[in-house]
Amino acid sequence: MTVAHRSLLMACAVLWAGLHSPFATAHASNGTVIADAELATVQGGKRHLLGKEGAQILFFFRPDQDHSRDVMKQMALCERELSGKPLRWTGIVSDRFTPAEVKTAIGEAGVAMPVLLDAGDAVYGALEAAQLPFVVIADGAHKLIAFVPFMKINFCETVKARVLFQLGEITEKQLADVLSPPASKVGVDLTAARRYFKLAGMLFKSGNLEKALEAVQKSLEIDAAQAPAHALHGNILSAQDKCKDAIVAFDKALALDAAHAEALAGKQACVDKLKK
Amino acid sequence: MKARISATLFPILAALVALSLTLSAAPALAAKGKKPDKKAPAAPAAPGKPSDKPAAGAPVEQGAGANYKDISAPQRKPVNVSPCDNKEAVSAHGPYASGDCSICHAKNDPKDPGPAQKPVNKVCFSCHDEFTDLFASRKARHIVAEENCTNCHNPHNSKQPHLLVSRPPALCVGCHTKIKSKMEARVQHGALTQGASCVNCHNPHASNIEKLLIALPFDLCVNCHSKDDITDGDGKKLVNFKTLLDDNPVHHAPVADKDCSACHQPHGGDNFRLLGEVYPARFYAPFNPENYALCFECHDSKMISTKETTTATRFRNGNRNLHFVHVNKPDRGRTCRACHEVHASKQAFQVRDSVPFGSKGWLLQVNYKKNADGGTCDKTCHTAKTYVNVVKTAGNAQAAP
Repeated sequence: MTVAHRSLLMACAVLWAGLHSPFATAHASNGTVIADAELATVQGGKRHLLGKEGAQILFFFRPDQDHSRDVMKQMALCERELSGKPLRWTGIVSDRFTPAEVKTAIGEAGVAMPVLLDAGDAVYGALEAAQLPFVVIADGAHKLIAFVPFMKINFCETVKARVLFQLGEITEKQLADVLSPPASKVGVDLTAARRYFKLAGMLFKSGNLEKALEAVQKSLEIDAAQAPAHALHGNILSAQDKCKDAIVAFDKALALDAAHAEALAGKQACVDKLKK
Repeated sequence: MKARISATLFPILAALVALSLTLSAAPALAAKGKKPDKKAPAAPAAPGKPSDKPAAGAPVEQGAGANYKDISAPQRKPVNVSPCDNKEAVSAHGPYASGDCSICHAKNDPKDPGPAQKPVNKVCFSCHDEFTDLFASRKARHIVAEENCTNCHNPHNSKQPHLLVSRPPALCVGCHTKIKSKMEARVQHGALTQGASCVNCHNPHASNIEKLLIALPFDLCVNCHSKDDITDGDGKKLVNFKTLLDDNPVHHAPVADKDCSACHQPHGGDNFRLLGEVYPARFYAPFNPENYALCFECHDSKMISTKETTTATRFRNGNRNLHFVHVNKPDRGRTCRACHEVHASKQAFQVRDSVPFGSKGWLLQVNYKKNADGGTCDKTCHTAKTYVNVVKTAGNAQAAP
């Protein structure tokens, strides 16, 4: 089977799926080939809807719509953040809006891309879209790769991730992490043991050995498997001239981490001190 | 009407917050319920406004929120971080409670601790070093937290848990005044009034999601709205979204994209069910775009207002716009809800399974079927009718019926 045959079969499958899926979406399916057209731009002159290379980003919006205005600002940010990449940015707006009002809207948002006037909403209609704003990402063969509808949250992040994935700059896992980000818990999971350890370290630095000892002991009571805490324990004891006890603490640290530099040095210092 | 969520739904979120608000964790939290050291310093200096200089300054007006009228302001007034009476404190910072002023301050003299050793957050991150990584690694960061931990936390002690200078939502709406006005609107959201309030959904430090959300809106919402016993302020049962979406595989785009906030105002509002804009409550209504403000936030009103089209909608027979036919009437126009489910359905395009008919609540089936280039509604409000999108032209063999 040739590549052409395979492509034809795939196109048929995509078409069939689009027509017969009970979960039909209100827009053209991924894989749909978008027809190119030469359209007038609001900036003046004409431009093709689609280019031949790289990822094509088509941004559909309305200048009179709150959601579009919000998204335009985000798209301006996206443009800046993705500058220098092989991308072809195109805005598309219905020709029922005047170039002047479109130019005002994109100027306020800081959008730099050329904006095409969609005569009779033909491009919008061909994509079977039912809402605005949205972004379509297509490949160099004009095949629809992703349809990103308006989202109040993480719109630009989503567009960027889709584009970077298309460019092969992020992995599927990284894309998935943007589309469905892991929860950001409040604060971080630090055990009380670590907190007492940190407090002990600060007390040790400030020379309050007694309280430092108390804090590190509390830390180790909660979690005895902390080599750094045992090493700190050793250092505190050593500073209190309790080298025999300190060596026990350093040994506990080294049992957990044989290469623990602080424990090795502390133990050596204590051994030397005891020899004297 | 106050839409509220049963108080029984919040313990998990509240527990999460309690466990993870770590700025005051461990030694600090341990002080809750116990009296801090009586020898603790009386009134060390306030850290002061954001600055690279070591913090110093006199106590100022109490309450962080009151001082943050303009959250975009590059500099904000310092908050009062003087310790409260130990007897009133419910949380105390370990170094303060143990009288070790010199951990943070220049001197270890409770009566004259001097300025902080370093800029405020550098002092804090000496111990709370996990926040250095957190601010560096997460995309959305709370500027107020990045600037000074003491904008929200009292480094000595507090009458609030987690050393907070005041409790959310009061702490948050002190700056976020627009949210405050939303919270005072006619329809309120239990998520703000129960549990950890703002922190039920937002991470006050940093997050990977815009608006400092802990998770995407839908993932947050279903934490509560996936139960059978949630009711609104009038006691009316609210839908269990997990069940609804599991049973109905065709999801409205914002639902599929986990963006409940596309239609709902999570902080409160004046519309039914916290909707962001007006949505027709009844089956029939005269067509007026203003009645459909919610839907027209995304969907182009041309979908309804244009009598003939080949682009504004796929619900058309040739170029005869069937949305126009059904909805655009001066008296008994069918509203969106007459034919569409708003969240999810079994039929394509969120077409409802059935519609209410008559006064006795009988449900008339809507047997919608999507066809190759159109669809059919069979044995429903009318006899079977099929529509075909293809427009009849001279050279076009396939014509719309």
